Amino acid sequence: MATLQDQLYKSVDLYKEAINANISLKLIDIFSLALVIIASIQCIFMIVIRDSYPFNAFLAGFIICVSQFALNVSLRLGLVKFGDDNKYRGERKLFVEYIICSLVLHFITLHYIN
Amino acid sequence: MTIACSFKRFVTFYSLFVFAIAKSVLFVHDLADEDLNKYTVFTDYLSSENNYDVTIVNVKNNGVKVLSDDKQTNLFDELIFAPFTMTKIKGLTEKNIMHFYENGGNIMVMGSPKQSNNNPVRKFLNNIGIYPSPKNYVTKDFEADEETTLVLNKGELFLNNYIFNNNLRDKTVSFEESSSCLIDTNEMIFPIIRQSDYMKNFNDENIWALSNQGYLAVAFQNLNNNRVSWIGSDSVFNDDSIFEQDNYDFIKSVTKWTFQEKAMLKVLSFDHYQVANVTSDVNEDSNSEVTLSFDEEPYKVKDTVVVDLYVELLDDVDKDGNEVYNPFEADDIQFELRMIDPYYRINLSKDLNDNKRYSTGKFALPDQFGIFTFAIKYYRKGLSYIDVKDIKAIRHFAHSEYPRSYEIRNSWVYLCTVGSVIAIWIAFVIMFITTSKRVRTQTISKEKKVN
Repeated sequence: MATLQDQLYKSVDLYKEAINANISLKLIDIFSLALVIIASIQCIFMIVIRDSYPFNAFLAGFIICVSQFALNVSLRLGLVKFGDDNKYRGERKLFVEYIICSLVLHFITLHYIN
Repeated sequence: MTIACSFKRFVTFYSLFVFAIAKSVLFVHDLADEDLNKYTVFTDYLSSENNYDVTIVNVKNNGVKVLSDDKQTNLFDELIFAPFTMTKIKGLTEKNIMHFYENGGNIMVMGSPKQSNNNPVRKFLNNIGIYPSPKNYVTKDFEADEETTLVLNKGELFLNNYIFNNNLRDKTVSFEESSSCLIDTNEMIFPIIRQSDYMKNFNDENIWALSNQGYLAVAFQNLNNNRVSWIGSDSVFNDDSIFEQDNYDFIKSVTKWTFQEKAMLKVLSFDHYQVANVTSDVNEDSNSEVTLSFDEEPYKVKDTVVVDLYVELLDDVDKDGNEVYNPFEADDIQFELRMIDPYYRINLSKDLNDNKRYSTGKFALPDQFGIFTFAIKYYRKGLSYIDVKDIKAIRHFAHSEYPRSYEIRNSWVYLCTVGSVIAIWIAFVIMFITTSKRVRTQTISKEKKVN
């Protein structure tokens, strides 16, 4: 019987295999990781200075990370094919939607920060 | 019709003019003629020295009328009551006296142990919280040799320097056969002279006022600044003793005070304005301050504001009716900025260059918008009351008046992160496009169906 450790190693190996097979997934994951790091930097900054004074600016900075992360995840889910799922998913359409949504997000953020 | 109307107007105007020049004083008494002759110095003081229009009425036989028929206007400016031995006076009830007082008349009352127990003047005094001792109750000084003559020479007995100035504590007043009064806890009652610790107002076994709980002279001022004074003994007004010690000075002071010719604070103006910093276009370093009234620039939160009060003290009115004003000195005038609760209480300080001006100096409005009351309330014993207020709205910042985020150093961090997210996103999109495989598009050709 496979232990939890074996299962973990196996899933990590599978993940490595998947992202090595598809460079787009690799890119998306790296971007998402960067977003998590940026979001945590802002939180730590706010905690360290113990002041939330330009709170709208903080919200803008934090929410753009979260929302961009969500958009990345939805893009990623659209690109991955699960198991026998061989149906045509319209990858180009998916990517265009992603870009439009992201542009709307950036527009709102830049307005909100001031 | 119009001529009659204008004539009526002329007459009213003229009568007002005449009243303004000479104050009409009514001296009401029920004394016998020989007793009335004792008051010649006092009545001469009123009529010659002050140019009052004095009417002396004896109510023993005839009634007296102090109010117009509708009770809305007074027929005299001031009233003086000699001690009454009668209990009922025709035309003069407690209500009438109150009406007269509330219509703007001032009343001076002489007390005496001979005064009857149940007369309208006493009831009127009881109404406003002054309780003179009953008939035959005499105040005696057990420290002195001559018990019924009260020689008041101690400075601490004189309680109000605005009414009778005894700052140097060197004045002496003597009362003979005096009555005393007890007073209510009303703050509008101003004691002038209190009994010393060794004085007692009593009749045989019964005591009315013991040592310092009794007062020999008391004044009262209502919220319209109309005044009443009560002096325990009529002897100070009598020719025999009016020139003794400082009695005459005392009588003059109290009369002037009662007739609103003394210790009246006149507010010349009460205003507030904003002090704004203006950077001149030519030289950006030089900031100049400008004052803007509320009408020019409505206040907003945190604005710098100054509140000014211009006030003068009426010290005397001379024989010709000219008012003599002096600068008023005080360090306890307080300004209050309130919206239900007071937000600020600021002491006004006197301007060194302008002795009429009291100012709060510059202060910042609170960080709270709403309808605020700018008020100064100054109630002091012996002075007329100051109660001025102005209700103004303080607005909040317009959205364009807040600092932009790039002016706040804290937000630079957040600006950087937003910039970096967008930059990374652009790089991501470019890399995504360049690295992704070409998506083949299947073209589905439409076949023509041939039947």
